[in-house]
Amino acid sequence: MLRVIDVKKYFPVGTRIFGKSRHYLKAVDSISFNAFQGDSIGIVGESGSGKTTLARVILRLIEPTSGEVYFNNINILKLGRREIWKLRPKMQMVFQDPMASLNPRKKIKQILSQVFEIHTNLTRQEILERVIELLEKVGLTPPELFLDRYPHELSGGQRQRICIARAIALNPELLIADEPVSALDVSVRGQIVNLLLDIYEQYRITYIVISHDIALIKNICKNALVMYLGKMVERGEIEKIINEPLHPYTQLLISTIPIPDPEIARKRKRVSVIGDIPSLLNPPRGCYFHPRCPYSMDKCRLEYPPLVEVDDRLVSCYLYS
Amino acid sequence: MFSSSKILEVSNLYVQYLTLQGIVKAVDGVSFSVGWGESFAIVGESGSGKSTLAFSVIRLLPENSRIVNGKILLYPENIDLVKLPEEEMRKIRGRRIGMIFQDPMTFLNPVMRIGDQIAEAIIYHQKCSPTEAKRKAVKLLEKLRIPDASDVVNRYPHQLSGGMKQRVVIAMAISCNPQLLIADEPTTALDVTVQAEVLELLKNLINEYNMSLILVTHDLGIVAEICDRVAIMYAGKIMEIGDVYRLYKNPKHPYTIGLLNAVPTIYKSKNEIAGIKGSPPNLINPPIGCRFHPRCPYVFDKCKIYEPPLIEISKSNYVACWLVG
Repeated sequence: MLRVIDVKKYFPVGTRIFGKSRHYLKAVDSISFNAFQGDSIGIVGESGSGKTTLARVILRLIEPTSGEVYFNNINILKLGRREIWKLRPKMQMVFQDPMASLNPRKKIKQILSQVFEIHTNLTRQEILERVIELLEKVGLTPPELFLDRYPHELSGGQRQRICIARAIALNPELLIADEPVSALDVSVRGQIVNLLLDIYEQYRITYIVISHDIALIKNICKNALVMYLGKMVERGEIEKIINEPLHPYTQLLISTIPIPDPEIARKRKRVSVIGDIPSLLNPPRGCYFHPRCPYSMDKCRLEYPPLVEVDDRLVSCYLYS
Repeated sequence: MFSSSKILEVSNLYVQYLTLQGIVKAVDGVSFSVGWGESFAIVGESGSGKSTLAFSVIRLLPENSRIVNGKILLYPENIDLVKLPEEEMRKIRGRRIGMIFQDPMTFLNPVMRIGDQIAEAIIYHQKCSPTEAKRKAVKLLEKLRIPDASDVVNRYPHQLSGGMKQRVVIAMAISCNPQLLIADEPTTALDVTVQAEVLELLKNLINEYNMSLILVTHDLGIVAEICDRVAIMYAGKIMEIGDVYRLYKNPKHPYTIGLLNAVPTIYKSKNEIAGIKGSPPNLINPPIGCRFHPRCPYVFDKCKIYEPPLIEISKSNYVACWLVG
């Protein structure tokens, strides 16, 4: 249903007025994956790993440098403006900061009606009915209480529910949620995660959830893609990745998640971390992870390791090839 | 050896903010104490008053706030920090109580070299020469495992990565060997893998210097890693205080239970995360009775009228809930 083939997004750095820039920031570098109808894929990575850029390319909110993205066998990167516009209702996104993605001067009613006004021919009355139905679906009850409110009158969790309602309004086939709970309080996060899970189960849409929190991904998704500095380092079933991480970076990531249980937290073995994440403007030669990797070999310093298949998973590390 | 005696005691503290909308009761009758060498965590969501509480202790509250009532006693001299004149307070800040803030970039002066910033406090409190202070700064950075420390002291904050900056902030906080360190969300601005390293470092420093720590955070995960005791705050009040092992294994307050269930972990299977219904209250008009009652699954009539007191259920374990005791 969704095929992402060798997608790259390079941002030019230090562009001169005339002529081309000589440096590029490789925000997303050769990422490929498939998602079938009803798949749920998590994209995990720390800041600067390119996870959000990848999502934006998939929805064509920004133009990639190269690569192909097929959505229901249509290469969306080749579509014209009108054609992509017609496809928009089928592919939706929920952003990290709900306050920033809702118009502060519009009432909730207007925000949600707009979707139908643009993409359907429903009458005003029909639209209102749909909006009420949507509010109920995302747990904002009684809906009449929310119709005439403005985004600033809602709490963070309620605002995120509005964003989710807007995203599912036209029954999308693909939903990308970019850090859907990061801006929310811990006690509210659970509600939104459960709402996302309910919607997933109810509509069987294809889900892509982006997060820096692999524990969150584990609770929502079946498969995952681990990114580090624009590259995919590991891909496979999330259960397998968590139980037996192959790439040393994935191992590091999993061993460093804080565990809310002092008994487990203080007994577990930690992978020792060496240094900070390097800058993408000046990535290390060879494997990007080698300066921090406890297993780094001579080979790792020379060339970036290719992706190899190990135990139904893809991993790019010389330890496995 | 000091483990049984206190270093800090906060009793019945009330802190309010005056805003255009009304008086915000950010900290409303909070009492707790921290022992020598103890790591104490204050956990709460945004708006729970946890940072206000921490800032009250070092008296760095914004102008529109006031400490209405209560005592903050610093031991062994029994100094009441609430009543201390500003001049005396300056001698305590940095020297007796160190502070680590959430965002290192806003804490560090962007136009001042790293070394000079660290040296500033050392010169003020220890009355030593600038060259001596700078030498100490290099030593501190080495202690915090910063590579090429003698080169880093000559750099500016923007030339360092987030993790490095936070380590510089920690170096500044411990530069005058304080007995108590207050850390307000020290790793929230950092990536997970970097966070682990900074936490490890902090934990080792505290053990090495036998410092007490007050860690303010929303993350129950990092509390489990490094703290001895926890206070759970909600809407300006402490709901539960307890030993970490007890609190995580056998939480008593419905809010603590809800909070622990709301954290996704890799050890839980799918569909097990449960949120708490509703959202935190507005502190201008907090709910009458127990502040948590509108969101509590076990609420009964008494909760809506009377506020439950914080009662001791066992040694150093306290809960404020009508269901308990």
